Amino acid sequence: MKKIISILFISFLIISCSKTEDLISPYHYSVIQKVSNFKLDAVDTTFTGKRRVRMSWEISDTSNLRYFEIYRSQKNPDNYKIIASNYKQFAFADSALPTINDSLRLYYLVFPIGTKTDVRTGVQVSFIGPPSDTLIVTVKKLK
Amino acid sequence: MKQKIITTLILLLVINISNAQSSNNLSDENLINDEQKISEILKFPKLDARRVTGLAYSSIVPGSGQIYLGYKTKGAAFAIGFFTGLVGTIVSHNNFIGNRERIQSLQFDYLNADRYTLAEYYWKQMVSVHNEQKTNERARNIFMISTGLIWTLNIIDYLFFTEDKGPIEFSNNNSFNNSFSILSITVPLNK
Repeated sequence: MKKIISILFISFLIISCSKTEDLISPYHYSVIQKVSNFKLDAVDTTFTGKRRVRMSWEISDTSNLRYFEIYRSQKNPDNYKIIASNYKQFAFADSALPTINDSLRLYYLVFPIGTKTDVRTGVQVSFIGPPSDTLIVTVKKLK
Repeated sequence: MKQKIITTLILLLVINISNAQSSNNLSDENLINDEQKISEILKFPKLDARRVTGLAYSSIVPGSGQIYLGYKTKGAAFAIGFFTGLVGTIVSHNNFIGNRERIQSLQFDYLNADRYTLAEYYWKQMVSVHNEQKTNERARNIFMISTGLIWTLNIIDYLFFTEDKGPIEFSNNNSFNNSFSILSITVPLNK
């Protein structure tokens, strides 16, 4: 009888041993690096008299980099619109600014675009990397 | 097995210490009496038909054997403890499985994410659900071990510490008849 009790008790313990499985290792941190040192170079005027914002950035690893996408908004953190796609330089000049009444505050973001392997098909597909820090620029109307 | 031996030794030690404190005369006769007492406590009782039936009841529903032998309070305590543990185990295990399915779904979305922000969102969700799953696993194991312990204690109690109070005899009890007559309705059949 004691043996039966022991066996039942041990089997109780064995049944309870289905454990939490470990998570897969995260891939998204290593696909493409975040843009760094995203800074305003100058706010100047084009030869046609338009206001222009010049900015630049860096990226530590370019092995998986295809291009950049640049976004602009007048109201952070919403309403970002793409202003440049398939852009392969590390500096950008935005001269197509919205209408300036007195002064204008603009927010910029840069996304690096890389590739990753699709788990189902095994084909290389685009992967939008982490956004850069927000660059805030105030542009004043020329008098 | 080791635990049982250790428990018996501790029991022997405790009884010896308590006896030593009550009387300082340590003689061979005292030791022999102690051993006899312990062997009487741990002696396997004779299993007659009622005890075997009660044991079958207790094996299936803990506490029911004790109730069958006349120990209603003790039996109810075992039954409540066992079923509380069982419900806790089932609920925790159900949550555990739910978490596992949720992680599988999130993992699918995570692997198919086409952007870092989306992948990060799914990853954070996965980590959160994974932590929840670990908590549920711990709760399930605790409940299951408690349930198993209660069941084992119930069997041990039934075998070694529950005596048969005898079958309940039905009689033409006055109180029973009175209570019955209050609820009865007289139906005139002759009319």
